[in-house]
Amino acid sequence: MPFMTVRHFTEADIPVRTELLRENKYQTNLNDFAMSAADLELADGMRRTIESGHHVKRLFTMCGSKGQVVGFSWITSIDWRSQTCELSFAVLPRYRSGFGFKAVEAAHEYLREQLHMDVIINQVLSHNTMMLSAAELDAHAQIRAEYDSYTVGQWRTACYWTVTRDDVRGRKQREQARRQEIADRVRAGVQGLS
Amino acid sequence: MTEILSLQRLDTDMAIAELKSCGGAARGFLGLDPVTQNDSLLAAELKSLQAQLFSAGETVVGFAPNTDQPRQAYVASTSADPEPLRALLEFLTTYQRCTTFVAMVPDGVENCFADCGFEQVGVLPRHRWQNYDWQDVLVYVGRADSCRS
Amino acid sequence: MRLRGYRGSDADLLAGPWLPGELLGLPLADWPPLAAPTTVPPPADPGQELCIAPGLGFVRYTELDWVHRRARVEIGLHGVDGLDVLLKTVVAHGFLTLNLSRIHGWVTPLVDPPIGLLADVGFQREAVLPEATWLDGRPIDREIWGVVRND
Repeated sequence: MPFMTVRHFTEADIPVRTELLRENKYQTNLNDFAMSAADLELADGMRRTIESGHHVKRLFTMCGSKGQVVGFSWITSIDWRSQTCELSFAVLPRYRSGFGFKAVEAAHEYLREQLHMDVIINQVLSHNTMMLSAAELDAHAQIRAEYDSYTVGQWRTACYWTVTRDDVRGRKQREQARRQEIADRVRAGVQGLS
Repeated sequence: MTEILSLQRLDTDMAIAELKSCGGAARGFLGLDPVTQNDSLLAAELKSLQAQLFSAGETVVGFAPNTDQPRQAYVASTSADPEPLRALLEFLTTYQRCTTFVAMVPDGVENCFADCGFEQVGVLPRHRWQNYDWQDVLVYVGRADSCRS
Repeated sequence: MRLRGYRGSDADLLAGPWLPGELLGLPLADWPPLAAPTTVPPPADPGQELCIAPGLGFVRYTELDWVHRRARVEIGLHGVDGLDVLLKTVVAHGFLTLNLSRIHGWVTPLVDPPIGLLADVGFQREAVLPEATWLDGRPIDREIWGVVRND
């Protein structure tokens, strides 16, 4: 069983996601509309998305190796012709320390491998350093948009960057080369001992 | 005459649940894909195809009528076991008066069509995208008089 | 030649005496007088892209699948003039404007379509399906022709 799997969001997931939409960090780091929306309104919106919104928005549930719900990801601004979309994700508070990176990686993989997306747009509000440090955000950001969002009583600046198929291929090749280098070094060390 | 395996007709919700339980074998089944399509989308596709699905043990088989030619049906199976497909063909011949059957199967997937008397009549190149790669689709045709057990 | 989007005033172009779903739907000379013309619906969902070749007819990219980046094309024309240019435009629109990787369609050999023109723009015969459609009181064979974008 893989460490993290992506499955389609279902009606049964609505209560858990509703709770997450109202969680403090979620509101600060993504949006706070759920605070002033009724349960029914939120549920109707999610139900509409899974029933008829496939062309413009898709919701996914991120699951751990035992099938437990770890968080959610969703894609918006889907441009099927251009093979691009914007990816958002939110991990449940109790899984944030260990699962965040894996969840993002699994969502990216699913979008490229199965939905055939070529370009994935990431947006992180600049104060949000839960996954990436301020320095890392600065390094990734291709665009910094001031006054991008207004959450929990404050204007926020957003960092935007794209990940393309070529970026991923390049990163995988670099990782493979690094692993190979370490393996070669270990092998050389073992031979030196014998 | 060989005894025909019994088929259990599936309503839409059951059909989707069964397809999802078949894992990778359901990918490409009548053009559907539970990995990229959620339940609502699968239900809409099944409705638009006018498809009917059946289970035979752990295998799901199904057909969609060719709306341009009511004596022809598109057929699919989630397993390489020929018996469930033979039962479906028997049903289609007897009760739907089908004379020919068409199957479109992702290349590289083990299937039972040749065992059931189908003949490969073509290849659709790069017809599918799955697991980061293009996949050809093989086209098979069977005739009622040669496919029935 | 350029394809443009469908407008309400193009409704007359959507019906004609051609086989349903045909890649190259050209007027059939001996269309039965009692048979209703073949009609395609105006666009109603994102699963299709209906284009108009002004003065000629329609080009419909249907069964659009954005994951597999393909569409089945059906064309309905009221005349045959400029067919070669139109077919080039159909392929270019599919690959460059819609960013598809493959387009395909049904060809019915019995009605003697100009398949040389299809081959000229890259289409190839990919499969032959016996008894796949109905014409003149009997089932007749159909072929799938397709073209794949070379990147």
